[in-house]
Amino acid sequence: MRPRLPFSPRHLVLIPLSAVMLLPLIWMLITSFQTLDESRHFPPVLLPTGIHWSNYSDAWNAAPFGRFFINSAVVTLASVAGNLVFCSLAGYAFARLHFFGRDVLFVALLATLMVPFQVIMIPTFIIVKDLGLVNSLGGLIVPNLATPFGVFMLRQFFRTLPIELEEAARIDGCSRLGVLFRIVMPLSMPALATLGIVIFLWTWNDFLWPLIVITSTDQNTVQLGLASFQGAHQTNWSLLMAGNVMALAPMLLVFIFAQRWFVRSLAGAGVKG
Amino acid sequence: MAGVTFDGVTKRFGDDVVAVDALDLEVVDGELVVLVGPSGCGKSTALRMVAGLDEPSEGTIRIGERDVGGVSPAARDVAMVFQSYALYPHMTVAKNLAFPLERRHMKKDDVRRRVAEVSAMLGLDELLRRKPAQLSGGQRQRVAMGRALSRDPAVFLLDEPLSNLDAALRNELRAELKRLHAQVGTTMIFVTHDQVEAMTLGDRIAVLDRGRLQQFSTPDEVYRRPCNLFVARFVGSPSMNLLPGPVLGLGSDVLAGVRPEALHPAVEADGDLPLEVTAEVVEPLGSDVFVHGRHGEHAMVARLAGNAQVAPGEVLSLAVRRGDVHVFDAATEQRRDSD
Repeated sequence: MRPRLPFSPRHLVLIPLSAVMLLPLIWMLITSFQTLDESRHFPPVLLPTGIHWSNYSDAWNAAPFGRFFINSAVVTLASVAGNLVFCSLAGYAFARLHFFGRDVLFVALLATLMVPFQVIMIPTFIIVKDLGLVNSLGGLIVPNLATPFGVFMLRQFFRTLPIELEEAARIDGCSRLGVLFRIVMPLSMPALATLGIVIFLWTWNDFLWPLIVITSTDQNTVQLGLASFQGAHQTNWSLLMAGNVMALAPMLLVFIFAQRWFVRSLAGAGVKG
Repeated sequence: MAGVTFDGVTKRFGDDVVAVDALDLEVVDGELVVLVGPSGCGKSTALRMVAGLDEPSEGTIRIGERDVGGVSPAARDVAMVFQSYALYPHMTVAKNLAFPLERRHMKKDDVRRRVAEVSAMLGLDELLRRKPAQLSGGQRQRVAMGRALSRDPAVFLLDEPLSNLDAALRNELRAELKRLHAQVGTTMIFVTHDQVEAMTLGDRIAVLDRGRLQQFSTPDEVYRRPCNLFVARFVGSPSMNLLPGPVLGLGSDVLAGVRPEALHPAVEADGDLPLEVTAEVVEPLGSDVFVHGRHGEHAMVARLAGNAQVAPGEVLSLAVRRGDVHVFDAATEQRRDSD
């Protein structure tokens, strides 16, 4: 009998690929502990001479990062909440209600997924300006309260739920909204969690739109704050990477918290098995 | 409690499909009426229109005295049991039972009391903390019944509630359903494609075909006096044998229907109509023997006593009483009573 390998042959491909994916993150972490000289050294120093925790406190104090974190958190949480509510409402309407022009409207909505942000950037800015939201967190939140991607994703998921559950709920005394909030949304936790994470990542990491809308330091988000470490002539890599690690932490936490929903699917258990 | 009246109800889907065609039907208060027919006959659509899940294209539906056109499902005071049970997967059994009550803003204590009553009635006490995924098919069916019962509605609507269960469980729950109906006395409309279910459960049966009501009568009447060829063929298992009139000495413009159980071994000079049948396949069931064979070119089935000894190829001398022959007009397919 041939001796069995202690790993699957697929791992021969997956392990190097994982290493390639992890390398920038590890390098970011290493650089965040290096001195400025070490970070600028060529060839790069892979192992720092010591762990310089002070980079973190220096980065935190170099700009009002506490404020930036709060700004980012407000914008991100509002966008996530907005998307979960409004995309659910629109997704449910597209999935279940019959109204004039529904399919045409849905195709039009899908078509907007193909329009690059750069194309709608200026019109969106004009709208935000007319709303008086330039240089405010509202200017970051309002355009992102609902996304075509979210509507599309939830509509597709809602359509997979057994319609009898909704019919039963309507007979049991629910209005359409009641059906959505009491039956459809609780059964759509995997989809809602996925959408929540995607919107969280998009909004938290967004740089271009805040750069356009925000003009004063006190309204900056974390990503704009990080950019301040990058000057025209020189960049403080150690502080930038320490800031990056701090900016990454909330995303990791959210992902770890929400990933259990990815593997959990309740829908379908109540109908015949 | 209330009766249900269909008054000229038609339901169209698109331009071509007529699911229910000018249905007139009156379900009396407290009655258990079974809508039965083959797939696509419109029976489920009729039920969904009572529930308010579909609206009639024409005609009116009344629950009690109230025309329910345009009334939301929630406001119709009906409860429905679905073929797929439709239990809410994210709620426990207790929550499922309480859901319709909570939606109607019943007080918490009353909800708890009512859930306890229903759970006791259906033997669900052990299951109250479980979720639907942890229940067997029969248990899910009971919970679905319980959820409908908990609210004490004016009308129960049951859409093929037993069709996903195995035969033994189906028989058990059928009996339980009949007991429940006797106990609560609420109007029930039960949809099924299974004529045995229809015959055993219904106070009256409405037989539908291609959206049209064929016959609405007691099970006994539907079985003994089918009003047309469709009902004659659909009700009864095995199906009624249909022969050209002249085979039994009738006119050529009629078809003669003979139930398999009406055939019996011929006894000379008893005045019954003789029929020779060549046995092809013999199915002994213990209590009965089904003999599939031919009379000339006509396929026939006879249901003989369980002790009958029949071999394939044997020519059987059978007979049928004159009174047991159903006569149908060959052109209109309607029953002829004068023959």
